[in-house]
Amino acid sequence: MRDVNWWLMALAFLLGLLLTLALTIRKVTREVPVTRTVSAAVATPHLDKPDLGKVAGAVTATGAAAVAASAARLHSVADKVEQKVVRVEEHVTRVDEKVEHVLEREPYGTGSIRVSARTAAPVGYTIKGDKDTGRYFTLDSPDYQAIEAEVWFANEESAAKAGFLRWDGTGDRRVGLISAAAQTVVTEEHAVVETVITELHSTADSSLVIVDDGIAEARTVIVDDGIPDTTIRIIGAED
Amino acid sequence: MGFLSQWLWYLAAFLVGSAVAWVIALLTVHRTSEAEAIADLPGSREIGAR
Repeated sequence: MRDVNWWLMALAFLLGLLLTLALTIRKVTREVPVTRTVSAAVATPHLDKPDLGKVAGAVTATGAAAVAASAARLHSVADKVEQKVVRVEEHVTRVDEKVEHVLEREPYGTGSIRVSARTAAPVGYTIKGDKDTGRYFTLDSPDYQAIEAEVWFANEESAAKAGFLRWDGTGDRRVGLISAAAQTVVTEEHAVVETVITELHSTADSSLVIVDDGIAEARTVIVDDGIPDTTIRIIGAED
Repeated sequence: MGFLSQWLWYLAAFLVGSAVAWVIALLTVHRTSEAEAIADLPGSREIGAR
């Protein structure tokens, strides 16, 4: 005991103390109970179930917390991106409307658009509608170029439904109104059909007579405007 | 012999230092149950189950 070096004794003591402390005490990291459902936190829906199992097995408790945090971050980033996309889309729509000088969308129901005068045809709308004559002009009309469109239609059906007559008179605007009424019949709102027919009574030149009054039961209504060969048949839901 | 006894003393000093460290760890770090550990980390189960 006499010939020991006390400095070395102190050093050995300190080494023992520090090494033991270093090996036994460690700062606790946040531990999370890991279950199979941790795969949801991984947020990898494209993985198969066995892969998820592997992932769940491989992810440590601390890793799961980190993954959950990063998944939450990813979600928030995705939300922000989505909001930006929506804003960009809105902006594009506004720019489109400015370029096309859109005054009103669907002034005559679906498939119609009103743009400022002397503007080129809006994309997707090729049929010109003339409010004064109540006619619509397709591309094969000789007057197509000369006519100044007050409203544009996407297709003939939309124009007919809006009550416009084809430029060559082959269509009947009432067919459009009645076909609109027939669509309403599908919803079994017969009162609406009667209203439309009453309107036809007041707007059409010749009076319309409901030949078959079986609106409530038959769902097939024959409308006659007095001229024998222009009988219009409304077909309801079951026919 | 003197050399060996010297090394034994140094080893003993190391062990004493280690024992002191162990006592310090025992006194400062308390044993805890699983329920207490979870209670100390609110929300950890939700994070784990997410």
